[in-house]
Amino acid sequence: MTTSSHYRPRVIFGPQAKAYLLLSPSLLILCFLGISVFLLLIYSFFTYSPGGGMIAQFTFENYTRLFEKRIYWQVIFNTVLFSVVTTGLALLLGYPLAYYFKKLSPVKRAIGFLFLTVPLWTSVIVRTYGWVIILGRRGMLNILLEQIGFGPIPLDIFPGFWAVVVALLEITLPIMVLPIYTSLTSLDPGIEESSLVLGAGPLQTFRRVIFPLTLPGVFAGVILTFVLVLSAYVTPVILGSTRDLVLPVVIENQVTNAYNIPFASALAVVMLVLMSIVIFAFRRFIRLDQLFGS
Amino acid sequence: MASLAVESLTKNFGSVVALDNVSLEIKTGEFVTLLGPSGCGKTTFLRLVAGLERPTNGRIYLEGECINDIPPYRCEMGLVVQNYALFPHMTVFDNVAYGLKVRRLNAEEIRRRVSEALNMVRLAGFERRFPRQLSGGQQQRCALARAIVIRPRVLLLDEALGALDKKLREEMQVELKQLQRQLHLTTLHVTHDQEEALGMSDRIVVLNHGSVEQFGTPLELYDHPKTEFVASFIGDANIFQAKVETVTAGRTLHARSDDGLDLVLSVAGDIFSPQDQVVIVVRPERISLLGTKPVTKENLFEGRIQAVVYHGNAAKVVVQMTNERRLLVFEASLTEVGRQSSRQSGDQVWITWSSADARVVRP
Repeated sequence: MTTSSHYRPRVIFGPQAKAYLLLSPSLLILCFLGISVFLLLIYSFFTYSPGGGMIAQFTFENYTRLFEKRIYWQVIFNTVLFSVVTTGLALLLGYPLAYYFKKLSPVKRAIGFLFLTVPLWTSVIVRTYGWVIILGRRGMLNILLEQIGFGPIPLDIFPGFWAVVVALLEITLPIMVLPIYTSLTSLDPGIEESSLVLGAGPLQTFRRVIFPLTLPGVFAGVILTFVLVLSAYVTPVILGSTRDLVLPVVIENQVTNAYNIPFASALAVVMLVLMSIVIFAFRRFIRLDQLFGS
Repeated sequence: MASLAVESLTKNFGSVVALDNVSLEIKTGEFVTLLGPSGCGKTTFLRLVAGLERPTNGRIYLEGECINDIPPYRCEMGLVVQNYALFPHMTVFDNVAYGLKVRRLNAEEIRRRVSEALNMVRLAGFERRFPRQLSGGQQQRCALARAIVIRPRVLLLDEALGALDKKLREEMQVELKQLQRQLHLTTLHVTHDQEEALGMSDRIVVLNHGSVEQFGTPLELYDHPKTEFVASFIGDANIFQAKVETVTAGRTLHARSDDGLDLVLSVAGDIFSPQDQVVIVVRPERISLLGTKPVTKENLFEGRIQAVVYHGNAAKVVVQMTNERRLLVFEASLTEVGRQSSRQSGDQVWITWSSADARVVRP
């Protein structure tokens, strides 16, 4: 018997290599993402030459400018404030909504989710100008309130901070509700019942059992909402007043009007750092490893 | 004094009747099991008592007080369910301490009572583990400790041992029973496992289609079943559908089975008259198989052995009668000449039982 009579496929890629081959599309995307972030970091240390783009000459100037001028601190503060307020309100409104959805019959729940997610299907421009019609000084809401008898222009929020927050809530609410809803439905109903039978009323049961066990969903919702608001551009531009300047708007301005790519990069790096701080702070705070098993 | 009593308790889910007009009383310190096939309403009964469902009709009394409108968190019950429903984000200590913390006891007393409860279920030393770090048996003990630490007025067990493997389950049955006696806990246990029910209970409620078939001690249920369902659900039974022919002096009843066998049995009282349709039950261990024809003439039939399944302490013998009906017979393993040591399938035998060993039950 000779082994040469047996067919032996030639091994080109071992199992390990095959696994990496399957991963290659995602690795490629990750690669480009990594490169672009890396470039951003490099550019932020380049020197800006007015009218002539940038020169590959190392400088801290972009960062010193950013941290020395009060206006940029104000912009960073505005950006964070929008994120914190919108995320907080989305959580406050979203959690009860998710809880309510869980109790609904399947048909009503489907209708509820439809209404909740419809804003996500619409263009951000259309959606935002829609809010102008509703929230404007002579908008639908003010007319309605005047008719009821609240006096002239009872709600003067457009343009301004709260108009932006309201419009941002419209799209962040579904993003907050969905992960929380998923967390709630994956909860064993026996756990809630055990708590009740053990003598904890509905409020204590919520505080001690249900809320802690749905923290992964809350975490997901908060992170997504926070990041979404942090990078919001159109909504603050259309609905905000001139005082409500946020980082994405300043970055856009630096790129398209001043052609100051190094300074825009430095601002973008600040945004990245802000997002990272939030994500890591939450990790530490929630100790996800403890919730999901050792 | 009745610790727990229900009066014409009914529960409908839409058009489905889960529990139909059930009334019963459970004494303080008694261990009562609700036994029945799945869907018989036993879990619904437990959930009604725990306050997790509201009855459609009827009343539930705890130590004389109606608890229909009292929410579960004021009922002072202990509940252990099949998957234990431990709080996954809390340690064993915090799980057991939960019921005490929500009652706002001071830290010192909580610590003392938790360690007492953990000692009782032999889980001391596991205080700082999380539920996922415990085995199934340990989780079960933890759930039990969590339920008894609040000194419940009634302990409710919903298939509490159902998720354990056979050997562990038998160990826990013994331990649970000891603990229940020691603490004099009124216990309501739900199971579909008849062996568990027979072994642990003071009394058993047999439920079928939402109604009580029989409520009695394990011995009563096995020896004097009232209905065909109880006879066939608890233990093995040979069941004959028959029609009464004569009732002699109110003591001896002659009946003819639908497949043509003449059956004789002793009955108490005059509750049957000729032409009544009855069900006759004969337990497999009450039947004798004989190699030679005995002198007795009552309940004597011919048959042929079809199969012998040896079980160590006993043997299950399937006998085919001349009219093709099959009987199940248990024979104790006594190595006696002429008995089952030489039993072979195909052997001709005489089948007989005493007229005192047959029972007549409601269809």
